[in-house]
Amino acid sequence: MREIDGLVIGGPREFDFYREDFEAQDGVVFARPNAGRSNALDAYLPRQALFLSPYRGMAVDAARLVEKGVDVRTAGPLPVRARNLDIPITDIHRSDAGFRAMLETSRHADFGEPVYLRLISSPGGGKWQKWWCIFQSCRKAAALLDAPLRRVYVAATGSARILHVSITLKTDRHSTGHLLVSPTGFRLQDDLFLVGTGGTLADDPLLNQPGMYGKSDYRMMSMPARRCLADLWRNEALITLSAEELRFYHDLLRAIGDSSRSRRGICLEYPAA
Amino acid sequence: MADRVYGVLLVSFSKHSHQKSFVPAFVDHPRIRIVGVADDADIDPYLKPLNQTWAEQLGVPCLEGIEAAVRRDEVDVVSIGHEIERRAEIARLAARAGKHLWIDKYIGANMRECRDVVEAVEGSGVTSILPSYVYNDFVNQSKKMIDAGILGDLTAMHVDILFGKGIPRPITSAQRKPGFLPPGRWKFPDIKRELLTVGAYAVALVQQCFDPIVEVYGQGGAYFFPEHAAHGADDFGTLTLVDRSGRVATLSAGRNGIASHGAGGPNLAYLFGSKGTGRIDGKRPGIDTHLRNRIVDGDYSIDENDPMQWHSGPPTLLTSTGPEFTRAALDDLVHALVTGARPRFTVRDARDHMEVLLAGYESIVRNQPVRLPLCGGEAA
Repeated sequence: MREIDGLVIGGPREFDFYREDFEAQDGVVFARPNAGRSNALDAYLPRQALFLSPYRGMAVDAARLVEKGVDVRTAGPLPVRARNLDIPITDIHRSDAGFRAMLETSRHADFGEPVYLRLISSPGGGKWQKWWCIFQSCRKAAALLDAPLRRVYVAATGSARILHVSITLKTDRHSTGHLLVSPTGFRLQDDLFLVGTGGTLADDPLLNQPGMYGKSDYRMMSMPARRCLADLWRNEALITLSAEELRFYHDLLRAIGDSSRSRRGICLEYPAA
Repeated sequence: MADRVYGVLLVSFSKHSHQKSFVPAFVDHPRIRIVGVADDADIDPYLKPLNQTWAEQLGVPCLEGIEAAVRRDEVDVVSIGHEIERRAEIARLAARAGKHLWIDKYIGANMRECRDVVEAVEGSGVTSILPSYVYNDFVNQSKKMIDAGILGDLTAMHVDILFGKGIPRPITSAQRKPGFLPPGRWKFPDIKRELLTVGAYAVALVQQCFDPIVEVYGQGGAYFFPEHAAHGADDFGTLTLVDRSGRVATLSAGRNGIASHGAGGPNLAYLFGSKGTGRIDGKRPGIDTHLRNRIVDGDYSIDENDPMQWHSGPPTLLTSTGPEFTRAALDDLVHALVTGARPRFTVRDARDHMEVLLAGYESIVRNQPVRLPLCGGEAA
């Protein structure tokens, strides 16, 4: 078993986010959740391990790593509750220079009070992956709207890989938002529009990703890397969720399935701090 | 035989309507002739001289008494640009007189009025059209993308429409009226309810792309303008709509202040399908216009007689080159009058459209989703 600095488990989107780190750092290995996952865990003994995308059996794999003394973090809550397994969660957008720039600008007096946030992502995968994406989007929304969430309305349609999830949120300061997780559009990486009383801020992947005119179409290329894996290991990136908050996110996971089946939206209250 | 020319009576130039912006298309159209301006006697003081000025400019009579004016022989079509609270009554009396209807945005102030108008129009067999919603490039491009089949099955939509107009200012707690004003009161001297005014365009787009809406969830209460906060009335809001097939549409709409966006406010639609996600910018095609003098010397001052810029546009960095929608709507009306075809957006569509908007307001007030059709309650 080869000793390495870090093992990162994620999907194609996560690889794209941090590909320059994987290419530049010999001691960091990226593995896909399903294909070759067990091989990666058998082949390497990492000092740190990061689960960026959830999958069936992730809790077992995480527990194995913890037993070996590996410093394990995840980018969202475990989809199934596991006894005696309390793995720290890392705030994934803290590694995104685009997010940090937007946060800083939104806190400037010129921006005024945040009023509305629209965030569209397309993480790929099924319900669990989309749930993590929503978890991350909720965290991002609370930071950019500078207020804790108060209430969400969950409306989902489709299932598995064609599942679309719409979250309509309200914060303690009356600001609102739509967090949308689309089933298609790999290049649709966090299309973000933030409206304040002083103006608007937008992070538009269409403008921020280089592209190529082909014979008959236009092809978007990878976005120039702006995320840094090392940021996810910093203590500032650690999230502490209360038991109520954890329950809220599990209720949200259940609401996604229920809404999709019933063709109705479901309201959930965010626990008060 | 020469093509028939249809006489249009312009009923009111209320500042809460787009009558003024319809005039150039009426004037230019070879099958249309403006035959008069009409209004009632009991109108806001500003309106009477405004109606008279327009009549003089157009060289047509200014008639007092809408009912009698509508009955005149030279009137074939009545263009209703009165306040929302008066539109249903005017539409009904015009339909009963056998006159066709060109109505600005809304056919009534509540569901009862909307239903009555549909009944009157369909009972009299006249043709009706609401020109403002479906003849623009935003809707046409979206429909074209959906109809082309490249998205696969459409499963969801999102629409952002904001008007970059007016000057937002800080709002103190004392200025904020507690609670949210229920639907039903639309007319104010200083504000418009913007979920109704701006959200109407987004709802119409969703209506064109989805099955009938069965559930609406609305949110309001965040403000840009102290004027709106003082009334507890929306300058901005969001809706989430679920259609009969379970498809989900989300939208944001409102008035968020001048110079807040390069194109005077976003006009964006995302169409989520099983094979791909479409993105339509309703402000494009256009020409990016960065002219130093216009930017450096840009006049962002606002006419004190029009503080919310209801009748003026914001300076923008984009010159839109899309087609003008009023002419397309007028062509559709004339085609319908000649052939008996149904225009793309009639009073029946307007009734369903208003039901969604009213449900959105009800949802904000009740703080829960509202199922359609509306039954009972003030909005119904």
